[in-house]
Amino acid sequence: MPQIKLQSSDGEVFPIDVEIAKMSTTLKTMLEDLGMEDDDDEIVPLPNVNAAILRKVLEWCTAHRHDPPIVDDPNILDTRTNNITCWDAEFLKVDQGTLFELILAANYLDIRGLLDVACKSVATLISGKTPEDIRKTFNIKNDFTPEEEEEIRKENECCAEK
Amino acid sequence: MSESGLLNDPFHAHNVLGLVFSYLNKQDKLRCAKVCRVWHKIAVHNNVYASLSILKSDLAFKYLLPRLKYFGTKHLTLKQCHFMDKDKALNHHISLPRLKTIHIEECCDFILNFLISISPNLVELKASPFHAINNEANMIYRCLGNAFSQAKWDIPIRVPKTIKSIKSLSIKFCMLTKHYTHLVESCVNISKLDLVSCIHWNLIKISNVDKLVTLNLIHCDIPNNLEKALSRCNNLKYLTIAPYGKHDLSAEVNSNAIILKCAHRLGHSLKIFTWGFTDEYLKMVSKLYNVFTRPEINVMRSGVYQIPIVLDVSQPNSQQVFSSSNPQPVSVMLIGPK
Repeated sequence: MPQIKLQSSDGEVFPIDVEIAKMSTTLKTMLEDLGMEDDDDEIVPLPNVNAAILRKVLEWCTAHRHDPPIVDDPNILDTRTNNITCWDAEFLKVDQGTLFELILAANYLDIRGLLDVACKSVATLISGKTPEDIRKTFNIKNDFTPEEEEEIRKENECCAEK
Repeated sequence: MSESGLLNDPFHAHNVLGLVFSYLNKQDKLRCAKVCRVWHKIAVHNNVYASLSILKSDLAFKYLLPRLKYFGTKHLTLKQCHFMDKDKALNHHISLPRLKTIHIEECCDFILNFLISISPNLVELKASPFHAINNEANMIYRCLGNAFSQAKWDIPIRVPKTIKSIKSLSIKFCMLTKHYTHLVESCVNISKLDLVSCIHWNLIKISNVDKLVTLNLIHCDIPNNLEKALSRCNNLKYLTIAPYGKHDLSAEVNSNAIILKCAHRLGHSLKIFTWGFTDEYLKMVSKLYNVFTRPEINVMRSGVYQIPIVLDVSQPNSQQVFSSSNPQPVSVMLIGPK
């Protein structure tokens, strides 16, 4: 099976199957456009992804290599969070920092399935919570002045009526 | 910085939340806007981008496309927009998997084609190539303009041969040239088709009418082969025909005759909604079918208000001229200006 080499931002090289690399739309386009498939020694640098995250991403891609392409239901992107599989749920049991890095990497590499599932898992942390709960969850300081808070409250009232 | 406070950091917050927010519903986004200043900014931004309308602007694909992608824009409306970097568009390897609806008005065909070609999950498309001018005589002008736009930007991008995702297609003010016919034909799963002020359309060429449920032909010329074309629409449930406003009575009677023939052929479960029937014609029609008025919709035509009618062809009514279930007698069909 043809392989290519990916290099993480911190210099680690990952030899992987082309088939797996192609789950990333970014890499797929790159391989097709540049005709890199024939060239075994070429190393693809990924300056935005470090080794730990790339390993995670590749783990996900390997596990999902036989997934059918994402079928789009017009409603599927709405706030549904219940279709995270057990494997994915287990896979995403990581600290918030790693989760965010995964989202950024999935976005950069354009891996739709991983991006969906990672974003959904963050969305579940937010969905249905009060602003105060959200602040606690993500350890965020409230930096609004009382006047600003009042303004936003009014703003939201207008929005909610629509 | 402590690891759990990552989303306080504007860099992380922008990059991550921008993506995550598009998975939240409106209520959640509103709550997020209350969390802190950075979140507020992102939530507001994101709400704007989720459904984006751009009017009369010079844009650059270079800037627009990454933003559409990043914010997961679902609805895009472009009106009278020009793109400065058309030549560069083809070099972008961007796709917009989350774009669901495109409404595009008075922009050149290139933009339409380009957006279709990079939006694999588009469900609804409304295209109106040229300006809606009130005066009917300007139809010719619009057609000329349309032809001109075709020549000038003669489509370096082809619309894909089959577009499976599009369910609803609406085309307005357009001469259905080869390109547009091709567009309609590519939409193999289309269930709703609106054609408004379109001429030279030819339904018979369209091979995918099987899934068509709703067909609206507003101010379109009624081709003689309409009957044959409709006979292939096996699942058609709603048909609206409002013939192009001709002042020539015989032409009108002729197109109404075609419509009636269609109605007869399509038979049960179909309601036809039309106007432009003359009094004599209505008398004849009402002998055959139940006729309902739709007084809630007033149509101004030729200086006279006309109330559109609905022919219920599901129960042929050859015996009674006015059935008791008729809400109103047919003779009030035409009313003068108020």
